[in-house]
Amino acid sequence: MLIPWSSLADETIMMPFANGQRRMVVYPQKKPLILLTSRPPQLETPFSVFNKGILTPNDEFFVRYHLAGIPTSIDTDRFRVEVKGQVNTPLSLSLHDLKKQFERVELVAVIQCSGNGRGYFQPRVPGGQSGNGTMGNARWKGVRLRDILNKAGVAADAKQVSFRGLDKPVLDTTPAFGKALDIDHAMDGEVMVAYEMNGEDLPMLNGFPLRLVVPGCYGTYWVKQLHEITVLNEHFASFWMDTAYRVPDNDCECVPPGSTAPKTRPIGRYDVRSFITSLADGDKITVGQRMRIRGIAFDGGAGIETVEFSSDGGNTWTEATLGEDYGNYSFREWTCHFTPKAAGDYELQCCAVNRKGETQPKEPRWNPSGYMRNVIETVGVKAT
Amino acid sequence: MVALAATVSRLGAEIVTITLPPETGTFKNAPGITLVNGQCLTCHSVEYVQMQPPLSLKAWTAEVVKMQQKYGAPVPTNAIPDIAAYLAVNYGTGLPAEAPAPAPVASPAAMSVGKMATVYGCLSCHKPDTKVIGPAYKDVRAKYLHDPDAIGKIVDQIRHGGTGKWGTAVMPPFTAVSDADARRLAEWIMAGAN
Repeated sequence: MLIPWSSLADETIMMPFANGQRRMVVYPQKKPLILLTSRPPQLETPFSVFNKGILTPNDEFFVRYHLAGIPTSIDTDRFRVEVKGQVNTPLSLSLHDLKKQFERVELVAVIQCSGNGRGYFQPRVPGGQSGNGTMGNARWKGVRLRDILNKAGVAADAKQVSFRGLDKPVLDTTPAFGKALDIDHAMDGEVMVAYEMNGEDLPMLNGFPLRLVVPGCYGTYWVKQLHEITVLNEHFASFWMDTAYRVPDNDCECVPPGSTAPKTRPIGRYDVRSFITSLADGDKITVGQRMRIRGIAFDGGAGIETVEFSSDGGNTWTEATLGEDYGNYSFREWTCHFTPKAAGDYELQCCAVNRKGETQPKEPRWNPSGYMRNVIETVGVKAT
Repeated sequence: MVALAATVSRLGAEIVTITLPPETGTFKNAPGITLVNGQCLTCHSVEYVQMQPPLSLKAWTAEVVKMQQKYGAPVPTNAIPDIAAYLAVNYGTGLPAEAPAPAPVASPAAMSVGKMATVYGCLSCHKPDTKVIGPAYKDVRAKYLHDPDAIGKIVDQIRHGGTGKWGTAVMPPFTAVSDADARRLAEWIMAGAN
C-alpha cells in the first residue's frame, strides 16, 4: 500500500511566542498539522482538535522523530521484533506471533512530549518550539511487555530493558535512538507493545507497525517501529538516557530560570495538567450568555480527582464536573458553566488535582531543557 | 488521504509505504549560507534553526558545539564561530558589539568547481566514488549518461532537492546555488567529478 502525501495545506498560523510562525502541512495519513520540522518530521496537533473528543484522531495525532533516517516502508510479513540479551530464550516475533501467542490488552493512555509547551518557557530555551499540541490520547491495543519478557524468560539479575526502533541516524557518529526502563517497570504489566491505535493500525509516522506504550510516562520512552527489546544486567548506556531527556533531580524538577541543575535524572512521569479546550485565547464571548466551558485534564497515572475553573485569573474557583472515566492514564473531560456578567476581559483558568493530591503551580516551573510544563494555563477572552 | 495502490506481495501480507512531502525550507540567503548549508542540512532540515527563539551568539555557539560533540556532526572546530555568527545574525539577537565580524565569504563562482562542491556543502553528503548519504557521483553519472537532459535534471535536483530516486534519503533544496554554478557542478559530475 503506497500512501502519498497530498498537496501542502499552504496556510500559516502564528503561535503566541517569538518566531512563532508555522506552516500547516499535510503528511501521509494525516490531516493538516503544524509543521515544527520536516526532516525528521515533527508535527504538532492544532489545539482545537482536543475539543473534538476525548480520543485524539490518528490523522491529527502529533509526530515526533529524533533522527532523519526514519522508516517509510514496512513489510508486515517480514517485520520482526527481537527479544534478546539476558533471557533464557531469545525470541524473534512476527506481527502474527504477537497477535496469536499473547493475551490482547487495551488501554486508553495519553502520550505527551517531554517538551510539550516548550515555546511558552520564559526565558525561552532551545529545542522543539511547540505549543501545547505535542500530546494526544489514544486507545492502544497490543500485548503486555511482561508477557513477552516472561515468554523469553528474564535472567534473575536483569536490571534494565532497552528498546530500539527502526529509525537511524544519518551519520554513524550520531548516537542511535534508544531508551530503557528499569526491569520492575518493564514487568509491571502496564507497559505494552501496541499494534493498534484507536481501533486501527498505527499511522506510519506514529510507529507502524509496533510501538512501546509506557502509560503515564513521557513520549520519549514510547519507542516507535519497535524492533529490539534487550534485557540487560547492567545500566543501559545511551546518550538518550544519560545526557538527553533529563530533569533536575529535585522535588519540583525545576531550577531558578536561567540556571543549570547540579544533579539530574531521566525524565519520568507526567505531572498534572489541565486545559480549557472549548475557548481559545482571544475569543469573544457574549455578556449575559450562559456558556458551557469544556476541557481536559490528565496526570501520570494516579487519576484526576478534581478540576476547578476560574474566570478571574485564579482569584475565585468553582468545581467543574468530571466526564466519563476512561482510566487513570486517559484525558479526563471536565465541564462547567460560566456566565460573563459584565463586558470586559476575562482570564479563564483551570486547575486539576490528582488522586495523590498533586496539582498545578500558579507560576511556571523552569528547567534548562523546557520539559514538564504544567503551570495553570490562562485563556484570555473578551465579553461584549 | 487517498491510497494510491494496494500491493499484496504475499498471502496475507502487505508492504505499507509512505512518501514524505518534498523539503522546501531554505536558510536565509546571507553571508555564511554556504557554510550552514554544508554543515547543518546533512542531518536535519532548516526549521530546526528557523523555529528557535531569537538566541544570542553565545546560545547559538552552544547549539553548534552540541551538534559537534553530542550528535557527532563533523563540523570543523574552526568553522564553529562563523556558523554561530551566521545563526546569531539571521536567527538570533545579532552579534554583540565586541564580537569580531565574520570573515568575508569568497564567492563560489570564482572558485574551481571541485572547491565549489566543497564550499556549497555538496561533499557533506556525496563522494565521487562511494555512496555516503546521497549517491556517489559516479552513480549519478551512470544514471544520466545517456539522458540528453542530464544537466537539466541535475541542476533541478541541486536547486529544488528531492527524494526517492536513490532511496529514502532526502536532499534539501539548495536555492543559494546560482543556476550558473549548479550547471558547472552538474557538468563536473557528468565529467567524472575529478
